[in-house]
Amino acid sequence: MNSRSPLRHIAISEKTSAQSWRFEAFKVSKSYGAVVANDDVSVDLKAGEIHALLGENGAGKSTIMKILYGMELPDAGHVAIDDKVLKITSPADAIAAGIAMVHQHFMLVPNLTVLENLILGNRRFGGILSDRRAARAEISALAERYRIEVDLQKTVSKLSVGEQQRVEILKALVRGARILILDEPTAVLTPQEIKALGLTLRELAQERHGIFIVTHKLPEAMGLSDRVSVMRRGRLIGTWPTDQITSAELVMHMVGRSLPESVSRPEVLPGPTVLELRDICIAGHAGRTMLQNINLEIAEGEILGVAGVEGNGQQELTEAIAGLRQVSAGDIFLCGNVITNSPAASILAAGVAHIPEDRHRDGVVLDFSLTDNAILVDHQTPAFQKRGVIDQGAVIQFTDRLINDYQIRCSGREAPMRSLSGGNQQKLVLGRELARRPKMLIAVQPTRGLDVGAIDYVHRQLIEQRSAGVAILLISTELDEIIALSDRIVVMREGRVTQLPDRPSIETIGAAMLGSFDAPAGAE
Amino acid sequence: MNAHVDAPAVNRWRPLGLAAGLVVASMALTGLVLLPIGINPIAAYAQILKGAFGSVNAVTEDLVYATPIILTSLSVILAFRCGLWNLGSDGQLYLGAIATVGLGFNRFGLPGPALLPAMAVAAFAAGAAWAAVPAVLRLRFGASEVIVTIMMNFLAVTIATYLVGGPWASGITPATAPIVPEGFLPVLISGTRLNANFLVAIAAAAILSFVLRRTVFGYRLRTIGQNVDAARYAGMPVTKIRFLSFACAGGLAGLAGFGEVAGIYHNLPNGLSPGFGFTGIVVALLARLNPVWAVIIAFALAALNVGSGGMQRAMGIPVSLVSIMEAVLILLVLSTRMLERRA
Repeated sequence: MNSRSPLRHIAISEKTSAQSWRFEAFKVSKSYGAVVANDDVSVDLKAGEIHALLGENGAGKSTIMKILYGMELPDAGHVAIDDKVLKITSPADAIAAGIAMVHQHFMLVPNLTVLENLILGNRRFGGILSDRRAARAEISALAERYRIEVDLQKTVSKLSVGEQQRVEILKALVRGARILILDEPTAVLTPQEIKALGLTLRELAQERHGIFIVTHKLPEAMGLSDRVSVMRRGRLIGTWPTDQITSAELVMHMVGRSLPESVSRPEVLPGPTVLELRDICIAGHAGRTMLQNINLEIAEGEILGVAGVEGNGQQELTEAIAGLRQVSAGDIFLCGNVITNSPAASILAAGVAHIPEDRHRDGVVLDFSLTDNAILVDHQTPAFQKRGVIDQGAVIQFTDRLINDYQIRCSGREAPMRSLSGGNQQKLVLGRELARRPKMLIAVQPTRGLDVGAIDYVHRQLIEQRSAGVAILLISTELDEIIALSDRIVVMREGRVTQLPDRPSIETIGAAMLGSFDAPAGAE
Repeated sequence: MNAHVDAPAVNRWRPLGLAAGLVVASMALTGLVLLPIGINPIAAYAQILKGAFGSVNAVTEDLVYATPIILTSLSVILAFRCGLWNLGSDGQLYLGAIATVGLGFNRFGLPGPALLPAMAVAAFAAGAAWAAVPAVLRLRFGASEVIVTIMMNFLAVTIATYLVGGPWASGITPATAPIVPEGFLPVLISGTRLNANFLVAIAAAAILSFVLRRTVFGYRLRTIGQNVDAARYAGMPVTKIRFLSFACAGGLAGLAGFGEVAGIYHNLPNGLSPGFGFTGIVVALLARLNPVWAVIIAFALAALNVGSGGMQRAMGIPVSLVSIMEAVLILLVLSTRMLERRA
């Protein structure tokens, strides 16, 4: 057999299974343009251990895992096994070194059987004329050993998501992986499947495999892992044995307290209600509900902060208000008028401005110039067009004003959006939305990916808008941001809103985020 | 004027430089095919130039050949700019031609001066209707417009063949009966085949360029093509604009069919289009989806085609040499694109 790496096929050879090893990323840094995805990250994995890597989206956990798997090369630092530096420049190298990744979106061929998928591209089972019987016997034995229940004859497209995940894990084992990296493994699983996954992973760990679980879900990290690491804004905050840290402490580390100082908030007496949500429900896939009976009110000159771990319905909530997603029940009122399920254009025209969470996907067109991006939302208003023809002069004037007022650093108004740093892109989005003089501003993760200076700037702008009487819905996973800016705070968890008392403590918010605020007995 | 420079065209002269470079490269590569059979490629290319630009008639023939290609390339550009592939401009061209000829010899009591405009409108509408089918299938049911438009090309050609050989057969040539003389497009230079549809094509390019760069509709269309999520976020009626663009793309190709019938043949012959639709795709890609450059590049490709006829007559080299050259050109275009994407 080919023995390029000491770890190759160890999984299938009994005698080495007790071997101990240590796999690590050492002082890894990685930037994408101006965005620092990983800053001096060191994390390790030992034989027989399940290590959860916890962090919000954009914290840099996917990047470090991609580096470990050879999909990205680090700018600085290295990957090593037992202090020997590994040269991993592609997933093929990683596989050869015994490292496998189970992606969030499975990489299986849907119209082939499980067995065919497992032997696909694996030289050990021969090329075109593979010995299927031998392969099946070997793989069945392996599956049985790790209690991975899967029918090898079934076509992959007929498998449930949980079964497909099992096939992916089995595929990693068949290829001789000792180190498994699971990217958000529980994102698509039912609670029962999560339990089964836990058992399989435990079994693997007992056989001296090492497993990285990348997740932003706290309960899973707590339930499955031996050690847990938290990443935030590209940095590794720390690594702890799971039984020596509480969920509440982890939440604190995830959301962090890194802001320099809180901005001063002048007293503003809230005016009449601008936005009201009454019993809003959104049905999800397969009978699940994404949002359940959401009731919210935001008044003029008020910032309502929505805290919560990402993926608990915040995105659905904003999309429902902005008219980008159909509501299945309930009503949304803007200044007393029903806007439920109205087209996005009419909601925008009625005075709602929206700073979207995913700037690159929704907020800007990266290949357009600044001028074209400046009029993304308001291109049809009389200020920018006459009888269907865009008024170039007005657009240029407006763009220059934005560049000037918001100190957007760019090579000129004709520069493509792509050439700007994240902070400057966000300034343009912010300026554009505020120039619309909205009654209601939805700001979702308005400071994500920005540096400290830009964060402060955005915060001041939001406070200024509040003073001017704008109703602001601030959705953020950064607890400090929520506490610093909000007049009232609610928490979203599993598609529901928990109302909190005035001026809640950080501990109260954390408890609500874990679902243990109302019923402390049921803490996870 | 340059306020709305589109991202792909960072340098305004780049498309021409790129096209010229690729043409030279493909000539060099094609030359390698000629050398072993004892033909001097330089002499062959000189004959192509002579055939393309050697006389007034040659130049007008270039323009005649360029006219439908301009229109089909605009058709491809319009669809592509809002993120859709129109590979069906050949079929839409046929539908335009069918509508033109149907109206041109039936007349339906239209007075003389109204006939030509009516034929143009009918051609546009027929092309648009033909394109509306894949548009609806894509926008409503998610069927790939790439596949549907290609399949519908075959369908369009088959319908035309049926009409030519069946109900509309003239009985003498493999073509339909001729349209009435009031339906002939005026000739621009007497003694040549250059007709008014060339002006229609130029106007269409100018209008499309203006619409894309300066109007609200064009702005929305470009936004949808570049980032459909941002377009939805900004409240744009994505489906409606995509449908309109795709239908208009079909209409432009329909106008190409109109010109071929009303300006050149005055009937619908079998095999009307020698692949104008596909040449349009090449032109659109070479022009980097810019309508003005599409006109220039369509002219260059037309000159190459016309010139190759002269080469064949003078040197006995088969016209298929030019097909080879074009094929090499397309491969080069595609590979440059890939290289650029990787860079």
